[in-house]
Amino acid sequence: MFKWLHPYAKPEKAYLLSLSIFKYLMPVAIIGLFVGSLWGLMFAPADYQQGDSFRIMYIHVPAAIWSMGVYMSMGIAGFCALVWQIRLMELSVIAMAPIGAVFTSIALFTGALWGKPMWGAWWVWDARLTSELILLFLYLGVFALFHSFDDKRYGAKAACILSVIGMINVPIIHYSVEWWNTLHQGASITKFDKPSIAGEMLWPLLINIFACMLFFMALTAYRFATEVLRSESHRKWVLQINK
Amino acid sequence: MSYSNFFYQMLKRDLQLAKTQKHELGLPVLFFILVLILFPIAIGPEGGLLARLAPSVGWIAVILAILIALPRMFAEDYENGWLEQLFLSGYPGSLIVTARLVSFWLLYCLPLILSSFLLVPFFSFDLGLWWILLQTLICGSILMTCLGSLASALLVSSRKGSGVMALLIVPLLIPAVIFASAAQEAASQALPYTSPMLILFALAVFALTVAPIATAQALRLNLG
Repeated sequence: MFKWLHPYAKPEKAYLLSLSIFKYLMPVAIIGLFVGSLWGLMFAPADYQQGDSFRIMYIHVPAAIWSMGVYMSMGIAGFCALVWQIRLMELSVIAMAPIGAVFTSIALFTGALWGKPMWGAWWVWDARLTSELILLFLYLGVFALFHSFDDKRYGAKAACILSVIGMINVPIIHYSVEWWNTLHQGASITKFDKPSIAGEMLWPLLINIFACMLFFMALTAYRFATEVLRSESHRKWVLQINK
Repeated sequence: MSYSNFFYQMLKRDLQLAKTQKHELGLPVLFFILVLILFPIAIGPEGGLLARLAPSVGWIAVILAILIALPRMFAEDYENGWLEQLFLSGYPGSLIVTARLVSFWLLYCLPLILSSFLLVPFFSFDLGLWWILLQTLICGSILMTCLGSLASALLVSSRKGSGVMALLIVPLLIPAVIFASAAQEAASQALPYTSPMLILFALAVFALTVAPIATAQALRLNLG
């Protein structure tokens, strides 16, 4: 495997690979998001209790799931970057941070939209909402740390350290907040044996979750390619591409 | 020099240096007292409400005051090159950092924790509850020092870092605030408060274990 993986440590190869990942994944992700959202928002049956307002779930749940998934992958990438001293991994951490922040904001915003008719309040200090909010600040911290250095290399390494520390802290934050206050409804689709959600409602959701992941991968690949170009801007191959 | 001797010498140096800059040490405490005064003025002088708010106000004021003090943790030594010499000396980085953590805690956190006694007269706070606040603040300040050392080490070579400091530390501190307020809440209702206190203590010990290693790594990175 390493023989196959090895050439991609070279920035030029990594750049080309990430561009082709972007090229193939982006159309699939967009089609998936389109199909899933359209199906979910227009054709899935309305909930017997929540009516049509449950439909925000088709945006909210994928964004919330991937707000955490992105953090996890960012932390792992940061850890690998620090342990094996792979420079390109550092760039991938920087590539992921804003995307995760946007997912988190979408989850918070759609959650607020849903909360107003359902709970009667835009915001409550519930466990999941709070930990999601903290997650947003962790993302912003990683990104702000990267930008507070003139030397981008130090900034990227510092951001890696912070993302790893944050990853250690995420479960602590999650459980402490859970213990503090819980109002949010439990998960409906993680119970594998018998999901407590109807099949016609579930399918568009699954499509959207999957498409969101592809969307995240494609965006990360694109941002990563841009970061590689920027960090290598003085190299010959970049100049050749720009020509 | 043996490790323990080295540690002792480092500590002695920090304390002696602090003796020459007494006014710097007083500033966070003054800031802390000013924040304490602002609360009753903003809320109104009603005794019962103030007494209920007292522990939370104490915690928030301590966090803010430590945020004021934190940028000084490594900045001076970084600028005059002392830190670089230390890391070249061959002693383990985590030992150097631990010495600095201890001296920072003694110089900045301990005065803050002790001056939280002002809550008792100012907020008509119960003396028995203050005793519990004192314990939570001891654990909490250790945690803040550890997280803060990491943040200030990461930001030591940055010119625009001071605004970022709060963004790095506060989200990571939230669990401690939750457990501290849970302990305080339980104590104010005469319920057992051991379990949140123990978790808080565990967090402090965990941070004290991990932070020196991570901080040393961050400092090495900044030294290039």
